[in-house]
Amino acid sequence: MDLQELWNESKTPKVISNYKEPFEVVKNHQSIDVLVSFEKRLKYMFMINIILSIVILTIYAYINLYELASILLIIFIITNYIGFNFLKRIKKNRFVLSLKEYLEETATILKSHIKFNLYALMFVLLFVLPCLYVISINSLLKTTNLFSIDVFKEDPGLLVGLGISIIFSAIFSLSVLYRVYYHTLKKVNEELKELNIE
Amino acid sequence: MTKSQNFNVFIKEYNDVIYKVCHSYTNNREDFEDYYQEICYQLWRSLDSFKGKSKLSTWVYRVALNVCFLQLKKKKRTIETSDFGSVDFVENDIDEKEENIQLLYTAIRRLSPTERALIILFLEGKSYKEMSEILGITVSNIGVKVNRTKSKLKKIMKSKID
Repeated sequence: MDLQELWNESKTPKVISNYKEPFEVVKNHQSIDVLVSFEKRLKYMFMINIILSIVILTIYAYINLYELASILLIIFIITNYIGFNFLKRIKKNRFVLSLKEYLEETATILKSHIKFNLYALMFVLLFVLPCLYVISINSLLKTTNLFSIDVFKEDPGLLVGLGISIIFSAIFSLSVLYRVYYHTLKKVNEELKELNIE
Repeated sequence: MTKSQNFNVFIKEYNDVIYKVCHSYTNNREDFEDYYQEICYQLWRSLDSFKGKSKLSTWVYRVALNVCFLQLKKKKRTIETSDFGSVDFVENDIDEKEENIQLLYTAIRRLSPTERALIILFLEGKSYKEMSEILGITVSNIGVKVNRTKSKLKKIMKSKID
């Protein structure tokens, strides 16, 4: 058996005759562009998150709120991890499906991801963040009950601090959600609309 | 011609190459599709950055092989531990020649990732210089490695037939 001969014979891939060749890659260029720009956005978000995490960590460490700083850091890391996993899911479909199917699938995944992010954000802002804030303050003041909200009665200024933290986090998270996910969803929908008109 | 049109022509031209490289590094349809997608995607992304310093085919091989190396690394799964009987994208009623072709690919998958790359490039008729450019191994080393890999491949194929 001659290796070279066998190798050359495999040039006519009868064995993959049932394959879509070349995976409708031709039709999916636009979707690749959408994906590339989306991937870029996710990468920027990742970088911004890291920088912001360091800044927040430094600020909280400066005022001795280590617990809060570390939990926020974990939240940032989880958000990024979910984002990149989501990207992987979209990437998997990019050549196998037709452009229309690909965009529809991407739009569905994006919508469910935005919904998930909003619920997660509400939970973090309205429950996790206030809890951590109270625990951190109590731990700073060396109160025996870490969950006691008496600190707010003693110093109403702390409530303002909590409010500011929630508002700041909400603005930041929503702007990221808008710039990264919603913007991409808008682009995907626009392309779908164009396709339907054609 | 637009970039998209260029890319269509380009992919069609190198489809055989991509197919062969993917087939040499995977043993089931799912992995094959993953590798094929990833190679096409990386080619699309880096097409603009190709400056023509090397031959286009050399560059395609380099991208394709790098993707395969990276995917193998990611999956942390060597083909030696995989089931060779699960090449599920092969038609059932294949003749003897096709059976031999499959045997060749199965034997190639028994080699290490670098050896696979070497044998693919050798069988594609690449010169030692081109192989050296693609794999980053010195030309003098290539000759020795190719001969060693060839005899290893023949031995595997013989044992498979016996």
